[in-house]
Amino acid sequence: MNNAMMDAVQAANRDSSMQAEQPLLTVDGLTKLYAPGKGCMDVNFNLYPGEVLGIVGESGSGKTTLLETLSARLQPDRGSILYHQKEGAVADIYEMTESRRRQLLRSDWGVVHQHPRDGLRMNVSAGANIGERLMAVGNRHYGDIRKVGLEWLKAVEIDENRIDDQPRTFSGGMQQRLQIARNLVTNPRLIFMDEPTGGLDVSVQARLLDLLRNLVMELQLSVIIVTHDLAVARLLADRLMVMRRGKVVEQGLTDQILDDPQHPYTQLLVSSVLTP
Amino acid sequence: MTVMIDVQNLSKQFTLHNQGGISFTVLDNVSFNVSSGECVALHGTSGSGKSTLMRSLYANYKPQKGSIWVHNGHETIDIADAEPRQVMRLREHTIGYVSQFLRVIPRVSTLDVVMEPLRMKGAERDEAEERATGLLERLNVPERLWSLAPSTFSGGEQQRVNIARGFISDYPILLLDEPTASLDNHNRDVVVEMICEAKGRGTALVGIFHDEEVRSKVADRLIDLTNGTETE
Repeated sequence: MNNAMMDAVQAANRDSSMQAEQPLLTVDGLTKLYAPGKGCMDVNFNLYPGEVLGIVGESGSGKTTLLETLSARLQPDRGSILYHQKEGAVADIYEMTESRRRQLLRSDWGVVHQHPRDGLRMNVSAGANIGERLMAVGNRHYGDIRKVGLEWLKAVEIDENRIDDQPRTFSGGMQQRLQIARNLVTNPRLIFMDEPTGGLDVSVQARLLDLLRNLVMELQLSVIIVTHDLAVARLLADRLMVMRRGKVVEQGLTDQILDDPQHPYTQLLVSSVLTP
Repeated sequence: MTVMIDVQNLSKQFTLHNQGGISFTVLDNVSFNVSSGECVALHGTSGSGKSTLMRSLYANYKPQKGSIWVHNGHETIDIADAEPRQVMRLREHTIGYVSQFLRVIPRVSTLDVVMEPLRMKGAERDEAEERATGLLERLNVPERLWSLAPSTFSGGEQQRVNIARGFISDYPILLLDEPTASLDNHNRDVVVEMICEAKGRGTALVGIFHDEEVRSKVADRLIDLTNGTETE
């Protein structure tokens, strides 16, 4: 994966991670409740460039609500999310204009959904799915867009011959990889992922995890990933937040949380995992 | 000689909230230090807390009391009380850990597993590959295995892959949890040699060595966790 395109993204993100140690996101008192205990409550953390933060917890613990709120898709009831922009200024994402928020989601940020149909346009070609985001950031040259599209298909291990096929003809694993390519094509700094390996069988899951690990390492991406699978969290995340009934009950270094959990709920979660 | 690790009054308790909330103390007020170029062996009966202490030094376990000061360039960081980000940086540049068992990543080749710590630090692929192949050769891991994922390897092969991964980065501090446990005599001697070379480079080492011969060859001091004494 050592081509010029990758190197450029890597260099850009390395530079920004060297620029003093400024958090990319500063989250303070973030609350979004649908009902008492339903949603997320009083969440605080900093995310630094190049860090992968995992959010774990059982179904209904508020993981997805938190992710939607963090990724500018769901207005919180209270609290703030400060984003350190590429240009250097720090702004609360819910105080930005709607158009600026949309622009962020199309360029600096990416969202990988659990179900590829939520993140892909199923009835246009794979190439167009990748190209769409490039066009959204101002690329107009068809030849260039197609070339970049081919490079990204290769980077996510999809046969280049499939560039003109629609994603509905792809397998679940391929769709998920296409979704990742679509997001990474604009050189994002921050990616949000909701159970990216959720619906895949284990062999496909392992392949996707390996791909994600390499992309995160080579591109110095910052990632916030929601998963209920602790093995996935261990492989991908540097840090974990454990959620229960909308609250973060424990957070820290991934292997510390999994190997020496302190909170009763985390202990229960870790000890409930079946190991084959 | 610089003090690289300074453990002060370290205590670690485990509380099992889902098993009646029982609580037991594994480390009680442990203090010692390790300097550059020195190898300290943790000693004691099974259950005396050797592995717990080792894991605490790597911030894999969280002690309740005391501190573990780690010398890092021009600063000293208490890894027992550090932010995840600081721990990650220490693990990237300062502290290496050879665990007893290789935690395998599905699908990743042996060569990539060994190279990863250097790649994380930003080393070029060629440079990392050269070092990795050198170590694998030295540890007698057959070349035909390098492109395979180590999950199907024998215990001894996995352990040597793990050792290669631990030694690839020349960390100033290296933690070794029974690095020779499943090795034959020849490979055991290679590892002993590598440990002695690391000491010569000024690496501070802490290890658990059940093999008495290995221990006597590499360790400068013993920390006995059964009764809390220190011997030369």
